[in-house]
Amino acid sequence: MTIPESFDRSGTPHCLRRSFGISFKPLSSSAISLLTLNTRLQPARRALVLFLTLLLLWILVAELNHALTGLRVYLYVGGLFIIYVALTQPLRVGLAASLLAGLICDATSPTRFGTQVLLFVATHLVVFNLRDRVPRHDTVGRVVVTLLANLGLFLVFSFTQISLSPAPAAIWPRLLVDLLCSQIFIALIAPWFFALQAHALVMGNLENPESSPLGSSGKIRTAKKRNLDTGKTA
Amino acid sequence: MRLKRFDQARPVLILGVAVAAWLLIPIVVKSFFRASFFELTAPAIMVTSHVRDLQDYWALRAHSRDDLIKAGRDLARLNASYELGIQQNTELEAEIVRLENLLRLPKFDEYRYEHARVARRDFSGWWQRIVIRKGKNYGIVVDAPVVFTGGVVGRVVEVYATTAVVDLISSPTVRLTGVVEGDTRLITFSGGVNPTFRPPTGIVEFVPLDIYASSAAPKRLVTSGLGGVFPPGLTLGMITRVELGMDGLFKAGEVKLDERLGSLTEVTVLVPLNPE
Repeated sequence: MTIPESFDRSGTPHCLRRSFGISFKPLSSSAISLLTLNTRLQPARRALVLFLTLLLLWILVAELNHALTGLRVYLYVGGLFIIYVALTQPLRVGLAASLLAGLICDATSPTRFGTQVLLFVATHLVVFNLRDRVPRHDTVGRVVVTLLANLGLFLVFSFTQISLSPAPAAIWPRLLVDLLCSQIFIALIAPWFFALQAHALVMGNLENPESSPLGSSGKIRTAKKRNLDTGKTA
Repeated sequence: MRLKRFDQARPVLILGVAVAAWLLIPIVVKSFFRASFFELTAPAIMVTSHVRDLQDYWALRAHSRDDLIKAGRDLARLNASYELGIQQNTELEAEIVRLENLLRLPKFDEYRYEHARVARRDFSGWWQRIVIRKGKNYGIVVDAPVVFTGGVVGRVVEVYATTAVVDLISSPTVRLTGVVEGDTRLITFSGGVNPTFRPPTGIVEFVPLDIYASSAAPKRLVTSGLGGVFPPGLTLGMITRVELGMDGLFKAGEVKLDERLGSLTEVTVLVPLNPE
């Protein structure tokens, strides 16, 4: 039986040793088997933690849309549900989180059940396959990908719903205003939300702070800045 | 180079298989998932609604006593006129019952009034819906009409354990029949476009050629009572524009709906006493 990677030989989690200097006595075989089970359940825990952050996003956006009803403005943030999990997480974990987010969005809208699930899953797969070609460790790159994904999702979703309107051509000005407001909103809150998701994974002991994508990208930027200041090349 | 698993090597094919599997899933399973995930979000909807009410309460607490006394005095005048209206209504209802018994006329469908707080408003370009804080626990049923002080709000489309979803009359998915006040000819009404920063609108079709309306001289559109869903005579909106249709047989036009539909906080559900 092997000890999981996030623990040292004595069974102490690395984060505890680094933060508090705590060290445990060597573990028994039953304790090691529990740790192994914990490691096997990590993908499910990871998907659950990410889903909870997506649920929080859904609640916040629903409240904002509730407040904006008097102005007849609606914010659509489908891209924001998908991009972080598609760019940074393994395929199964990310797909599970995107699927659950799609189910939440479908359950609370009068669309045919499964419409947004399929759109989210398809977008997730596309972004996942292209993620090695985009600057996925850079926040600006992630925001740009989110805006593009949201644009695509909004347009495809609008085409699936447009037939229900009594005046399909007349509804597009309203939809374009909603899209513009949504894109501006995403550009403003996406960095915060990505940081929230990364932090949630660290708090759930599912990622090391140094190895989390946001943490590493911050370090890279800091190192580059230091090199620029001293005039040294990287 | 390590070989990829099949699902990683052929993600589009896997997506196609997932779509096919989803299409073949029985409707019962889809309904179960829909209800389950809606109920998962219901506590969040209720909690945020109660938090908003608490916010309003503390905002009112910040008012001075003089402001509250003035507001109470203004409300007292309004309450007095409403009480007079209730008394007149009671007398008229008694007169209707007397005449129905005397002339052996059929009774109209009766309703009980269930007042509900609006928990969430969801107004997109594709639909307009609200979620109210009462559901099966208060006997709310699907297709029950929903009204407010300004007239018709919409119709209940989904009912859950503690919440219900109402489709507004401004939603493009709603269609019903109405009549111009004082007329008996049926007109088709449906939700309109709802442009940004402007009041909600609806569309009327099959308007008789001798009906004229403009923004200076609008005509009130009320429910016809056809179909038995909505009681007759409830205000839908004001017809502000009519023009000749493409076929020349009828007119079509625009209906201006009540602006308060975008800021509803309390509605009344008319629950039929006889569900049939």
